Amino acid sequence: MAGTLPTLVDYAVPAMINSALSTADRAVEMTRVVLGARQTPIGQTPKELIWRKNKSRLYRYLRDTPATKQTPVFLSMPLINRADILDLRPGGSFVEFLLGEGFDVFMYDWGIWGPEDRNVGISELLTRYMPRAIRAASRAADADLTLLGYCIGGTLAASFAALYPDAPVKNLILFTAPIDFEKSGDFGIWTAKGAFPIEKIRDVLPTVPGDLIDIGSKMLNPMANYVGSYLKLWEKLGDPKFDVKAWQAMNRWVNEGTPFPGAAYYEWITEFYQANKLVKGTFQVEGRPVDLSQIRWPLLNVAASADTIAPRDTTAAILGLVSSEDKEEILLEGGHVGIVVGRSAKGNLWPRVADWLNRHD
Amino acid sequence: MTENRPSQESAAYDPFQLWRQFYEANEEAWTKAMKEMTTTPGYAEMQGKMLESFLSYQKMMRDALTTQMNTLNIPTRDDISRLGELIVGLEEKVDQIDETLEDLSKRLSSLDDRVRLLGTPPEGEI
Repeated sequence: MAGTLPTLVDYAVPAMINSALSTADRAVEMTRVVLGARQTPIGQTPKELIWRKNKSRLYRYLRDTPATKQTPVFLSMPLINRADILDLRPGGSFVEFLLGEGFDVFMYDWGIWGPEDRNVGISELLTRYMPRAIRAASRAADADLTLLGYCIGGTLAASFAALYPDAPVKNLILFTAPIDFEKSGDFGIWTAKGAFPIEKIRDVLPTVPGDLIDIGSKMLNPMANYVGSYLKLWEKLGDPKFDVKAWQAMNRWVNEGTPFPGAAYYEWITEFYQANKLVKGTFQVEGRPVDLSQIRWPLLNVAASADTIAPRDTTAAILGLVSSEDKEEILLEGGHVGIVVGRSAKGNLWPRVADWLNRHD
Repeated sequence: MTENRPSQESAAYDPFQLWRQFYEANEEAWTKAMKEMTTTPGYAEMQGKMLESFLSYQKMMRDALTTQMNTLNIPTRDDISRLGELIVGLEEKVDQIDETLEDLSKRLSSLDDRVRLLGTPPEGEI
């Protein structure tokens, strides 16, 4: 009716309908994104398989042009996640970045362990897997390597460095690698002797499922991991600046944990978390003590200030234990994963690591 | 076309927006409360007990299934795993042979170099 003032209903009803439609649209889109995450391709940088043992694979990334740097980088990856975190997606890949900087890059992927690997222990990984993989990489590149370990891959790298000071390696880099387990925060409390049924786990599970370990990691910050991540997605959907593919790739990586071989998990909990043997110098591999003071290679230790998985104190301990004269620490603001991937890593950690590598080439 | 992002005016009617505001206002407090609860030895013990119960249940199920499969003469997962272990063991042996061959090859080539040096006539003899 011309001349009649619009009522509240004239405004409110269309707004509510629009809002309901918008919310429904967004819910459909969010479901599509979350369900599609499992199919998101990750680890896409072209590579060739150069050596394998059991489930583990050693890859060499393909370069269009010959490497301009003399020291190849060997990436020692964690046991509990897919190795692709350092090669998440084009434009967000540390591997791609290193290739661009002129390095020859190898990645040692532990693969997906099966029940037949229940007796594979950390000692075996350190004596039968890593030394051969490193030798294969060094032989392929005809050069000594920079050994770079992330998370548990870093703990293994440090143990390897202590056991094999004559290996074809010249530098050691650790990304958020737990060393002093007395300072391991919440994980330390949860895995304490008496509270954690490690004997029962060993008896029942040939491999500890990735999902079980994932629950533990997520419980370190349940609000952020179970709610915050999806809330962020809901808010950002439709924002042209928001990279949906990047969210999906990260979500896939986070949710695709890999099984931990039973014997290795038992050792990881009892020898490392409960007895803190690595720091005490009492951790032994086939009768040989793993003495971190044997490490003399130049060392770069990277720690994250808000790391709940490997708190800063547990990672920083390495600096006081090695004999390396050339040692350095990069402390970054962020969490265990955030500092190695994503926008902040690209502008902060990666160039700083490349700078260190260039100085130690 | 429906907008992907709700406009300012429609936001007031969006139940999710209201929930988000509620979440944001309380997240810090919830996180703190969760942290306080989950970092106590009591919580660790309770979590351990829950895990133990789950594992006991799993073991019971697995044992029951294994008994049935054995009765029916069907290979169990353990049987197949044993086969896998044998293959991995063989691979290890091949790796050891490979290593030995590589070391031998290195020694032979260094020996070859030494023999060549021995066979080189001193300068001025030719």
